[in-house]
Amino acid sequence: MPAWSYTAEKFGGDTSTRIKYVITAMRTAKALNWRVEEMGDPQENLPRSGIIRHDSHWRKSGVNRPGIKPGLPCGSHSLLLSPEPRPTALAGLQGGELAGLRAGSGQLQNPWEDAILWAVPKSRRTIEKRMQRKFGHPDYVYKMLLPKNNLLVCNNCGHYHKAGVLCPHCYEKIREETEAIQKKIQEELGLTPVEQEVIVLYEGEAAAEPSEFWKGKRVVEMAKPRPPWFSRNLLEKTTAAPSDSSDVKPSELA
Amino acid sequence: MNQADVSKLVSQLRISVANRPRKLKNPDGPKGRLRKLQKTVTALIKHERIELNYNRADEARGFAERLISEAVRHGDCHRTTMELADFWLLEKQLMHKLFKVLVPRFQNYSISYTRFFLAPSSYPDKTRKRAVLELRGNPYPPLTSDTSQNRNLIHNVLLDEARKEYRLQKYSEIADSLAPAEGHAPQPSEPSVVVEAPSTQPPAP
Repeated sequence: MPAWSYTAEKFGGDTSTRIKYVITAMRTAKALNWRVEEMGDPQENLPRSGIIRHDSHWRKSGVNRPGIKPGLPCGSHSLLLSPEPRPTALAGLQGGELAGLRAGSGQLQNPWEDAILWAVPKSRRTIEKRMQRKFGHPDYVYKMLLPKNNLLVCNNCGHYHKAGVLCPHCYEKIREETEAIQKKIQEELGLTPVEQEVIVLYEGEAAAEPSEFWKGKRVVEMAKPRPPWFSRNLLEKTTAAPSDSSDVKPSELA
Repeated sequence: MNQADVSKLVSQLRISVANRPRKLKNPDGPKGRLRKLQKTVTALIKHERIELNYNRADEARGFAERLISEAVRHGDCHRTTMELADFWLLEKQLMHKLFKVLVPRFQNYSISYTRFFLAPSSYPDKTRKRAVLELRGNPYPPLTSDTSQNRNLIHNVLLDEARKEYRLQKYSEIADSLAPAEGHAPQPSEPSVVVEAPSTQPPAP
């Protein structure tokens, strides 16, 4: 006995002549056409109870759909008995020849009804596979360990730093000093409005100049000696005294 | 169309400002974001150098530049500018600092008023990007080193001269190789150095 008729018996289906016209797992259009011709007028010959629906070999078995018995092997000659006719758009995918098998209304139900079941993982990814994707594997997802080429040597201290970013060693030094100066300025000025440029001096520097020198400036004195790397010259435009000569440089030389 | 030229209504900022503002996640929404930026701009004007997260620093920079440029352009007798300063500066004694100290400082600037650096982060801690935002002309130790005089250092002077000499020598070599071809038809130039194939025989003892 062919496999399909056995399946029909198992499901308590009708093994009469009508079932013989059920489409088995057909792979050729020729066979399909032959079956439809035998049936005659598709609409009238459809049985009321138990429509046998062809489930194409490429449909996933075990999918939770009404009318489908789970556990059927994939690719089998799957004959399925469903209590009520349920035409879905999937039937339409199998070609217009099968359209006649739909019972009752010829209306199409919502084509997205089963969409949630289409693209789902079949089985759990093993830890080996997960690690291969994450850390790379020559045969699978190749993630090469590459050296960092964006590291430069700081010209001031000689430590390494990322290109485009401040040198951490230098910055740490400067940050500490900046915070000390900011703290001192806050202590001295508080919330009083600042109306002049603030000049920061270290130990002994205020006394080096006469008092008139500091007249129009707001001086904040630090209680410690100047750090050797923070030269006063850095903040001055020039250390040369302004010239008082009246010589004029020749212009438009040949 | 008769479109008025609006490009001169506001000063051109001397920094690049992104097309879209950053949302800067805040429990109070856009109002909270603006409040946070007000605090940042106030802190920048007050302390003149601040370290903070990159995104907020970049946002605040634009607002600070705009504030200073408006103050420089219009001065303190301009109602709109005063209202702008009143909005951004939460500590009101800084209004004096802005108009009396910063405006004279930045009066003749043709460059940006602020400097923006990427602050270092400790590897391997994957922390957020940090930045340092500072006003130019601040009294603190400088974060960048002045490289404008590097060409005048003795080793660079000597190296530059050596490079010049080498180049001139190469030019004269090329000129020499071309000179014999002037009189006759151009010939394919032969390589001046003949590379010897490595000998397979061992060297004689």
